Amino acid sequence: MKIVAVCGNGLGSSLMIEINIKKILREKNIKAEVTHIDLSNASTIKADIYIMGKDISKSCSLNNKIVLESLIDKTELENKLINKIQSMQNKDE
Amino acid sequence: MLNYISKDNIIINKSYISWQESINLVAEPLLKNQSINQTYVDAIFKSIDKLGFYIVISKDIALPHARPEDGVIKKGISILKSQYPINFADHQIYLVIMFAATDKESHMKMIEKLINVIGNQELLNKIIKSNDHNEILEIFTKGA
Repeated sequence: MKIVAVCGNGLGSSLMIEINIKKILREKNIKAEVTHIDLSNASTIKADIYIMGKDISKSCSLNNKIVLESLIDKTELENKLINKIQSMQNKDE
Repeated sequence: MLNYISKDNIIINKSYISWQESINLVAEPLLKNQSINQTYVDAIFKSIDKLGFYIVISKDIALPHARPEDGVIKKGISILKSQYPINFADHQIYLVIMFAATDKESHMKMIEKLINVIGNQELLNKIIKSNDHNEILEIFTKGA
């Protein structure tokens, strides 16, 4: 599984999201490749899940998005990420 | 935040200001210590024009920044805490944090320390409530 955090410049909030994703995956013992990128290059990376804030998501037409209200709230991220991973696993079965 | 944050990089604002003024104010310490050129600040305004208020990262916090090639001289961070809310469109912001990165990765530690503080609701509440320079400096330096 590959997860990409996306933000405007690929330097600030996407890095914060990436740090929190890695923390959550470690805690939940889930293995995945995680990286971050700026919006204009996001479509060049093939990923299973793209995570971004709601301001950015308006200009992003990728599928499999998770849209966050707060980019630093680990609880919101954890709930949405775990739900998404579970629904993807259910689809596979 | 350790060595990245000092008293000179924290601004306590006690008046009503616009979001534009807040960005110009928070840029001052970074311009003064020659972390960035004025072109960096111009690039921030341009990217907000283009992408909207994507720099608002949570209900209280804005993180204005541009790219290394927009005028970064060295890595840096500065913080503006406002006593009154600053309107970024429909967001009411109390904390404006500007950072300058020299490349895609080398500021990772700085961002990680920052999120240890502002991602902690208890520490964030303390910062939002405080308008005391030393107290806010202490939370940022010791909280991480």
